[in-house]
Amino acid sequence: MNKRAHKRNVQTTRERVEAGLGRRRRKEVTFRAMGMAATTVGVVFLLVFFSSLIQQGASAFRQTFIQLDVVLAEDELAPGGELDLAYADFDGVVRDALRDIFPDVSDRRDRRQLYRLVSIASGFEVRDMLADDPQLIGTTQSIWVPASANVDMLIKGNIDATLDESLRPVSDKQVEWIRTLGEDGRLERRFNMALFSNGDSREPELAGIKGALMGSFYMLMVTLLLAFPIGVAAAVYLEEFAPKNRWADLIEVNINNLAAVPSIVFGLLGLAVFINWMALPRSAPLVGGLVLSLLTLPVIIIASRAAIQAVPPSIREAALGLGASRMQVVFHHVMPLALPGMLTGAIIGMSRALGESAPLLMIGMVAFIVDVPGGFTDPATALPVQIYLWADSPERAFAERTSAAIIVLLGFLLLMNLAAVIMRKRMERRW
Amino acid sequence: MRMLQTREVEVADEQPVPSSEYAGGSLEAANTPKGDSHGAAPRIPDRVTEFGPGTVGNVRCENPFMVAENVDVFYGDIHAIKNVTLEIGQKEVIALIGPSGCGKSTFLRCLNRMNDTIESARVTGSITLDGQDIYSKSLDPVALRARVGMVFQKPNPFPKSIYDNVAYGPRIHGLAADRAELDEIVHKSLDRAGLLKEVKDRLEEPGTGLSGGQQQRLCIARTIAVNPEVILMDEPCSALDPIATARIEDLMDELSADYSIVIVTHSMQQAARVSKRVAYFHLGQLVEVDETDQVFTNPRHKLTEDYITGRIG
Repeated sequence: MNKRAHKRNVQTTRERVEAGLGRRRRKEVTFRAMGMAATTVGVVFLLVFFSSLIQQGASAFRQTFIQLDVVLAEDELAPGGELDLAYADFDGVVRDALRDIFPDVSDRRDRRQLYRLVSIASGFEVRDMLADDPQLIGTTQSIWVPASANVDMLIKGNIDATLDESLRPVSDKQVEWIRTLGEDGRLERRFNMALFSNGDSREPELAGIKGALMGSFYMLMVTLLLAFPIGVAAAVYLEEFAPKNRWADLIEVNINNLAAVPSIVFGLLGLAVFINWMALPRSAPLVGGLVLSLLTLPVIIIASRAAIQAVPPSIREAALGLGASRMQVVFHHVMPLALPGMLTGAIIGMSRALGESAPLLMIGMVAFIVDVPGGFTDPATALPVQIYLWADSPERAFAERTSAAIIVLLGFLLLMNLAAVIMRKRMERRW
Repeated sequence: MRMLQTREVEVADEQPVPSSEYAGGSLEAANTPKGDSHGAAPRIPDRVTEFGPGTVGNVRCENPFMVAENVDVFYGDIHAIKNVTLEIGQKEVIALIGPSGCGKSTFLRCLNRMNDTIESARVTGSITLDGQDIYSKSLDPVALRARVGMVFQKPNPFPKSIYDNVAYGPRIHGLAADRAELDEIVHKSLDRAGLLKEVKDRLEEPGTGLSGGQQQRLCIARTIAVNPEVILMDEPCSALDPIATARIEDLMDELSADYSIVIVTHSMQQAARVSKRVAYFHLGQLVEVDETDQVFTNPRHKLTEDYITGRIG
C-alpha cells in the first residue's frame, strides 16, 4: 500500500511536470509574440514619422533659381560715375532683365506680377557680384537668382496649377511666364544654400537656420561649461564625501524630482532670476544656456552618480589600503573609471537641452531675429524655437522648411547620441 | 620585560582552573606532568567548554609590534568585535581563523583603519603600532596605511599597467626621487613577489590581463613597494587555485623575514602551514590564541577544537 502510493507519487510528479510543460511553452510563445508586437509598433511609428518628415522636408534642401541676363549699365547703376553699393538701384536692373525676357508685358499690374517671380533679394545677388568684381560694370552678365517662394512651390508641385486662379497664390499669367522660362531653360533647381547660410526671414526663399543653429551652439556651450563641471563635482561630492544621513537622502530625492520638473518651469525661473533680478539681456544665448544648465544639471548628476557607483569598491579599497587619500582615490581611480559614464550622461543631457523649446519661450528667445548671433549676449533664437516659429507661419513654403529644420535638428541629436554610444563603447574598461 | 610566562592571561571567568595551565605555556609546558608541585594534575588540561568573555591561551608574544587592547567594534547597533586583546609580534605570521561572520576580517580592518571608510563603524579600545596609538587624532590614516599594507580577498589590481600598479604607492608617497629609482622599486617589489620573471617583458600591459594568481602576486608586489612594516592579508588565496595558493604561501614565508604578517584564512591547512601563531575568533570574541602547533594539536577551548576538527564553521 505504502509502496504503491509512493510509486504513484513519483509518477504524478513526472506527469504533473509534463502536463504543465505545454502551458509553460504557450505562455512563453505568447509573451514573445507580445514583445515582438510592441517592438514592431514602435518601429512602424518611427518609420512613419521619419518617412513623412523626409517626404515633406527633403524638397526644402533644393530651391528653384531663375536665370537673368542683367545689363550692368553704368548710367543706371553709377549715375555719378561712382558705384555706390548701398544706394545703387540693383532691383531696377533685375526688373529690367525680367522685362527684357517678357517685352510684351506692359500693364503696370502685370509688370508687378512679373517682378514677383524672382525673390526680392535678387538685387542683392547683383550687388554681391559687383562688390566682388567692380570691373563688371558696363557688361551684361547672366546670373541665377532665387525664384520667389510661390514660384518654387509651383515648380515643386506644392501649388496645384489646375486649381481655380482665385484659390492659389500664383496667377494664370505667372504660371504662363514660368512655363515659358522653363522652356527657355531659364529655370533650375539647385542646392538651397540660403537654408544654411541665412538667418530667419519673412521671405521663405531667404529664410535659413544659421541664426538658430548658432544660437543653439552658443547656448549649448554655456550649458556644457556650466552643467558638466558643476554636475560632476556635485555627484563626486555626494557619492564620495558627503555623509550618508537624512540630509543626503533629502538632497537625492530633490535632485530626482528636479529631473522631472517640467521644463517650462525652469524657463519661468530663468525669467524671474536671470532677466528680472540679474538684469541679463533678453533673448540672449547666455540666459538660454543658464536655464538649460539648470535643466541639464539633474540629468548629469544622476548619470554621474550612477557611473561612480558602478566603479567597483575593490578599486577604492586597493587605493585606500596603499595609503591614498580620499582625494587621490577619487581623482586617480574613481574619476577615470567613471568618466565614460559621466560623459555619456552629459551628452544625453545636452541632447535634451538641444531639443528644448518651452523654457526658451519664457526668456524671449522666441523673437523674430534676422541677424546671425555673433556672441553669447546677441539676441538669438534656437533650433527648436525656429521650428516652432516656422510651423506657425502661413506661407506654404515654410511648411517644407519646418520639416527641413526638424531633419537638421534630429540629425544633430542623432550625432550626439551616436557619440555617446561610441564613447561608452570605446572608453569602457574592464576590471 | 614582557616575559611569556609572567604575562597575565584572560581566562574564561567561569573556569576555576589552575592558572598555570592557561598561562600561555608552550605545548611542552602544558603537557608535561607537574606531579612534584601540583600533585595530581591532569596530563592534558580539561577543555574550556563555555563560551564567554575572555581569551584562552596567550594573547601576548615575545616581541610585540602591534598591540590591540580591549578593542570593541560596533557597526551601528551591531557589536561586531567584543573586547579583543591581541599582540602581533615583530616579523611573525599570525593567522586569524574562525567561522564566517566571526569578526576576524573586521578585526583585521581595524589594524589599518580601513573601517574608517564604513560610516557606521565605531572602534573603541586602543591599538598601537610600535607604541604609537593608531587611532589618535594626530595620526593620519594615510600615513598609517603606508606602514600597514593590505592584500585583499579578491585580487584587485588597478585597471592600469603592471608597472603603474606597483609604482602607484611609491608615487603617491613620494618614495622615489626619479624614474630610475622608481624603476628599481618596481623591479625589486615584483621580484620579491615572485612575479618579475613572468612579467618583466610586459610591464606596460594591463595588470588586469594577468591570471588570478599573478594578479594576487601583483597586489602583494604593490603592497610591498611601499615598504610597509605590517602586511594584512584578508583571505588572499580564497579566489585562487591550489598551485597559485602554494606560490602565495611560499611568498608569505619569504616575506615573514622582513614583515609582520596578519592573515585571515578559512583554510586550516593554510593557517597550519604559514603561521607561527593562530587566533580563533567566534561570534566577535577572540576565543583562543596560541602557537600554531599548540592550537592544532591540543586546543584549549572546546569551540576551537570543534572548529579545527570541522564540527562547526
